[in-house]
Amino acid sequence: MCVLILASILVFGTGFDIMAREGITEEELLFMEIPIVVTAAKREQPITEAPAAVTVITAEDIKQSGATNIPDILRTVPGVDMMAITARDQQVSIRGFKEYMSDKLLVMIDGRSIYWDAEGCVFWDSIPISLEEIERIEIVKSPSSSLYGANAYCGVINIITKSLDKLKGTKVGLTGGDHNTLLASVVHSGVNEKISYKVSTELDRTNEWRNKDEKAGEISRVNALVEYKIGEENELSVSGGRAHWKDRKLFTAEALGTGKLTGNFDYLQLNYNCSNIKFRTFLKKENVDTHQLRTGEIRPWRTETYDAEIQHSMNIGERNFLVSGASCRYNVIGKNSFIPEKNSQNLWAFFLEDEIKIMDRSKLTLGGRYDWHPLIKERFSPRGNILYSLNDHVFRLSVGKAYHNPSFIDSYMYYEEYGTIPLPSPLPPVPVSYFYNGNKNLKPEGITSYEAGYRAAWFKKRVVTDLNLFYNEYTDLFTYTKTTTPYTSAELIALLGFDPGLTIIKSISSIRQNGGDSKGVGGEIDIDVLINSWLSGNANYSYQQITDQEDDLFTTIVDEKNKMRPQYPKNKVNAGLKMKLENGISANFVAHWVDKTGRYIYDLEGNEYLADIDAYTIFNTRVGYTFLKGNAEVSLSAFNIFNDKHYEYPSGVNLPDFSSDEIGRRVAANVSYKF
Amino acid sequence: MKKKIFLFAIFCWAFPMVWCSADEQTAVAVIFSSDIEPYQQAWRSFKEFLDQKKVALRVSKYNLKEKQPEAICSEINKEKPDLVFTLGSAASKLAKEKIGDIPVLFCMVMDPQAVIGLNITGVSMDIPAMMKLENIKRVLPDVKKIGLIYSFKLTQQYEKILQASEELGFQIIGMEIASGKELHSALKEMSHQIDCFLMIPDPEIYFPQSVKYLLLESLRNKFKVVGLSSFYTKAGALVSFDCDYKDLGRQAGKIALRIFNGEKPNDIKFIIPGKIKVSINLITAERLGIEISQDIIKEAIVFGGEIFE
Repeated sequence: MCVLILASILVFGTGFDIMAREGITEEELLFMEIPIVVTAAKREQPITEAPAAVTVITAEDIKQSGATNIPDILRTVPGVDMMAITARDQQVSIRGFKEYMSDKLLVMIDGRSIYWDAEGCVFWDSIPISLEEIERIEIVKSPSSSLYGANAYCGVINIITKSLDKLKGTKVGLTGGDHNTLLASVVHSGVNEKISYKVSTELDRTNEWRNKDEKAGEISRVNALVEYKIGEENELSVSGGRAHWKDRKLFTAEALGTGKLTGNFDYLQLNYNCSNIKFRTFLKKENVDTHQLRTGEIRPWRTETYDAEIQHSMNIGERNFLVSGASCRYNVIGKNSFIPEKNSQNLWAFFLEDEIKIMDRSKLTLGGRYDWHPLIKERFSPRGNILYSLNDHVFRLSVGKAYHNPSFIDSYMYYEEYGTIPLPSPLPPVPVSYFYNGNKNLKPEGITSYEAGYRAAWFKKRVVTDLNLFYNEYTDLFTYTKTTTPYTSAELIALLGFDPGLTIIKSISSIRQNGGDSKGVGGEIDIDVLINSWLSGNANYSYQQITDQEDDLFTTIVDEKNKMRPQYPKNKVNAGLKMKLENGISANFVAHWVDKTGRYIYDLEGNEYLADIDAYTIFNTRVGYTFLKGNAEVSLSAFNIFNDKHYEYPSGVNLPDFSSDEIGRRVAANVSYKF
Repeated sequence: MKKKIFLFAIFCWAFPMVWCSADEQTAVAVIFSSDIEPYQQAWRSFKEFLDQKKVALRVSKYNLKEKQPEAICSEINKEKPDLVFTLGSAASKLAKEKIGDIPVLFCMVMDPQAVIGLNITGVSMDIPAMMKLENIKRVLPDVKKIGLIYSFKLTQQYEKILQASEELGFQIIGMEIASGKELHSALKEMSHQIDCFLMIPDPEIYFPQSVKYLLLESLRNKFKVVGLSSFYTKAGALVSFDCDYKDLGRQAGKIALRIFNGEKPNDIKFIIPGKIKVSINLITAERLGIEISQDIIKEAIVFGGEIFE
């Protein structure tokens, strides 16, 4: 045994030694690709020093992935759950809570929220920018209400666009592929001493997974930005954009079925930066009509959000960095089919965060945010974090509270829908009514999060590992109570001429409520390996388990043994290889495995089912060739190249249509040119 | 019979022509250390120069990334070309150790002293310390204190820089470390004492992540970084000095001509780079609050102010 151990040490140690000696030459050192650290962003912070579990996806990662939309790029991030319901409907969440209309994740573009307060969700294809414009995507996997307010419950995704310097010139891109996929974009930027600008436009089209000939909706995007340098440290910028949807399919609920949406998502923003003060104000509007396919009705949806925020940062002495700010927001929703009268809300907030260097190796971050909401009244979200770095090793401990406000739908909805329930032949179908009610007395959903993180670089930084563990306590999670009312005997006789002796539902009434409490545990491990100057690898594993603390009062199906929520996959694994050669050839191969889940769904009678979703594996690959000094590129990418057909959301039970599509393979070719 | 005489006559006529043609071509074996583009640039420039001088080459190409070193050397020693042309230090060291009595001409080598030997000469790509510091003085006239972190292997380089700095009036703050693991603490100690950090090519210390850390620290602590090449400037170093790789190839071509004309490699001193290119990152300059003169910007490769992708 001792000989074996000694032999292992010798072999293992020798292996390490070989790895250590297997370096590059001095000349190769000169031509090595170095990650770019200098961008137009105002504060560079090494990822190792972020006071939360952060993953960064760079512009190069986005390009190499071959993805045609942002949610597909996020699939392989450890801790992130992505669910493709149809070709257009894609939901993203962090560390659980992968729901239809995921409402617990704050998403921003350059600090501007694109979370729609009215519905309480993010429509990823309402973002008015093209993938070409993205510099990086920062995924913060910790609750972050102390800085960003309500809805940064599970975390924050911040999409940062490229500086105008970087975009200078004109870039055209064209992607075409299976399922009538078309992505055509033009981005143009001009840079001057005083004034710089950018305009971009994109056409995004694809067909359904289920039926290759049926459109899933066409999205067109336009975006413009003008920056004006007033002085050395003063800059004013104005930007605006629109995402236009045409017949974009959206699944709303089993009872309602699918709708086709046509309309616009607009924004207008003004930023003013002066030394250490940032001021931002924006307006965003939804102006969309939903054509409900089952009933033929057209339902309008109009919302507006006005937001203003000011932030100040300063160094206090050599060891303190203080950020403080205030914001106000005014949300208004017009009268529509779901909310019977016009409603508006004023929200206010103040926040403060102090970063304190304790000695040279450690940093303490303390912060808190006070929010005021007309229904919730006041809330305080504190956060604390301590970071300790020792050479290439960084240790982190965090604790924080966050919360999620009820949306307009959660608070004010009153909606009636009428349908029919099929009966056994030869009986005719009978009418059924659905009533959905919001609840103005909802408490916000809360989370208290405890985290530990460890990030290290090994073997002359060839290998970087990132380990995060979390324990979360969730309170007052939103749910729906369901009350079903059957037809009485007299009503059935009046309807059918006789009583068939069956229990037939006449109406289903759902009311938004606060459910019970839950606990979540889990973690992620991520390993990046730089094999040599042109080849790198990555692998990550995520584990999560969310368990209710008591029986969910409002569901009839309870996992008595574990009370474990089956909707969130326990395990996820990703692994990939990336190659980039000096001659312009690049290749990327990624494998993505998601564990099986189950989901509670309902049929038209309000009966509840636990539908199984099998585990699935997706292999994605991309091969590209850059030429003309890097100004042109052609590539071929395949999503789900081995065509592992699978559902990520159940297709429905006893429905006249389908809730979701089976996800298949998509191959696309891309050509781009910059001049 | 007539047919046989006719064929014999053709052979007698053709054979000397082929023989003479073969005689006119100069056999060169080229060994690349790897596939990187700068080696290819130097090689193409070498060939073009000799083309212009009407030297016909018969070339055998080898790449250390594609073939085993032993196999390469065995083939070369068997073929006995007129010249072995090596690009990069790995190929040059191999030729020094394993190639017999064939003249070796190296190019694109950072440390020529490590490859110099009997029958070997060439072109270095190590920009001399004095040239580097003179250019720092020209591009960044306000710099007074220059920091340098190096491992034991590069002590000689450090000493050369120290010597040159005395003549130019710079103060050098140097720190020897064992490996990249100590870079973090060394920088922490040094960052408040210097206004400029000079990188020297040390694979023991520098790697993508360690370089990224260095560049971020330079922005935090407001000191300038002189990188190893334009790749580093692109990433965020304020300024870097590159050799002109095509010029190195041309210089190698000139030495090759001398060898083909009968000179022995021992009698030809290796050449140091004659031309250098400056690259500047204007975004970094803005972050550090530094004004770069328009004359320098005009001559330099610029990042963050011009189109670059």
